[in-house]
Amino acid sequence: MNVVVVGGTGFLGLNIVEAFRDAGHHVVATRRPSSNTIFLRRLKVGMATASLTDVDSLVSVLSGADVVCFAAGHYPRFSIDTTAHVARAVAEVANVLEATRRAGVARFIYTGTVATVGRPREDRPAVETDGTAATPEGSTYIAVKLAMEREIERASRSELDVITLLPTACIGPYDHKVGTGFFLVGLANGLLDVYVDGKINIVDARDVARAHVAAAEKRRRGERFIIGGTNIRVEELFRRVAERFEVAMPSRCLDPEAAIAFAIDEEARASSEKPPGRPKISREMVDLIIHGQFVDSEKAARELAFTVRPLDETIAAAHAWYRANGYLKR
Amino acid sequence: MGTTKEKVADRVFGILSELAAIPRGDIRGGDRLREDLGLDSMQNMELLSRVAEEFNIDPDMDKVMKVVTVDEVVTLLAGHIGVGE
Ligand SMILES: NC(=O)c1ccc[n+]([C@@H]2O[C@H](COP(=O)([O-])OP(=O)(O)OC[C@H]3O[C@@H](n4cnc5c(N)ncnc54)[C@H](OP(=O)(O)O)[C@@H]3O)[C@@H](O)[C@H]2O)c1
Repeated sequence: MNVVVVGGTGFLGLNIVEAFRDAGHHVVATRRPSSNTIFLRRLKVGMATASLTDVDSLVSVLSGADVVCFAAGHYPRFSIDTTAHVARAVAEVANVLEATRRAGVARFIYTGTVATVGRPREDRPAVETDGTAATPEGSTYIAVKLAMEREIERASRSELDVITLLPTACIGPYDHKVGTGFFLVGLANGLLDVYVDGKINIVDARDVARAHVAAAEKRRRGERFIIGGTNIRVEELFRRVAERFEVAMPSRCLDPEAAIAFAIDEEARASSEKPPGRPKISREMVDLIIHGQFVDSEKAARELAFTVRPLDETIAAAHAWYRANGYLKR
Repeated sequence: MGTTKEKVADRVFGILSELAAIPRGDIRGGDRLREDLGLDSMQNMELLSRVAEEFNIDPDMDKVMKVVTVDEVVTLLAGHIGVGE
């Protein structure tokens, strides 16, 4: 198959590119003029410049593709100005969808997030049929992701063959901007002195990437799949990492209100720095944890032959990648 | 080798001037990317990635992460010429 990965220079994008390439498909990844292409060039796949704000640039890259993976969803760094972030994200999705139609690509795979999955009434892990989450007050990330998925769903009800994958918190190689892996790098470097506890699910980015390949190869039009790994509480996860790499646990666990206030302060500080700094905890991270829930990926296991590797293997692989690439102090 | 290093230096100063919005003549080899030129880590990466791409160099990321000054960028990238694919 000819596969185009929009966002192939990013964390999940690089994993997706590698998985398709290893499965024998022909891959082209999009990049921006400003993208870090060091890792992508090592994978020796095609590379084409395209911008989410320029439909024509997308059409020319997508022409001739059988499948497009959209792993370039807007990822707001700071939870400031939700309305503007939502508008931008929705406009970008609309552009990619329009380009997909115009280029006549048969299948569209959307990399969404599990944060859009609704909460079950009973006490059990959430599944796809639990519907759509409500937007928590003030959560830019979740508002953006819900709005994007609505746009995708609309396209799916029309003529497009869309499959939506909903990964949980991804850990693994190629997290070069240090997204979810921040807790690992932060803990290992002794930079994390506070945290907030809650339910999360950690999945290996390489498993998420393989799910994309399966979604491309199997016909599951219009379906939505939770792509999750291990259900775990943050505290337990941190303890495991701390023990394994012989580093200290963060000294303070904040309650949800204190964590939100802390993240808001941190984002204000970081965004006013020149150059912009990095918050100790981002609002996005706090929101994802305090509104987090355990999930069940049985549907993906059944229909996409999705398998999950052990959490320890994932943590070790991510740690090894950060180490090899100079992110760890010792 | 000398001319190649000069070419790398030329591109590094050119891209830096664009990224940091500072006239080229005001950038010194000893300037620190973050503290003196105000580059954030993404722009830092963009600089290294762009020069590496133009000269078809594949730099080690652990070295990239440790770069502090303009001169270090030039030395790191020039040192890879003929080594990277
Ligand atoms: N990381 C996780 O744990 C996780 C978990 C669940 C869901 N997700 C979702 O998965 C998606 C990808 O996440 P990620 O962690 O891989 O993010 P990432 O590392 O920031 O990668 C984003 C990719 O999109 C590209 N991109 C962003 N805006 C663009 C634009 N305007 N035009 C062209 N390209 C653009 C980026 O290009 P540059 O390289 O030039 O920046 C990059 O290739 C996001 O929608 C995210 O919400 C992520």
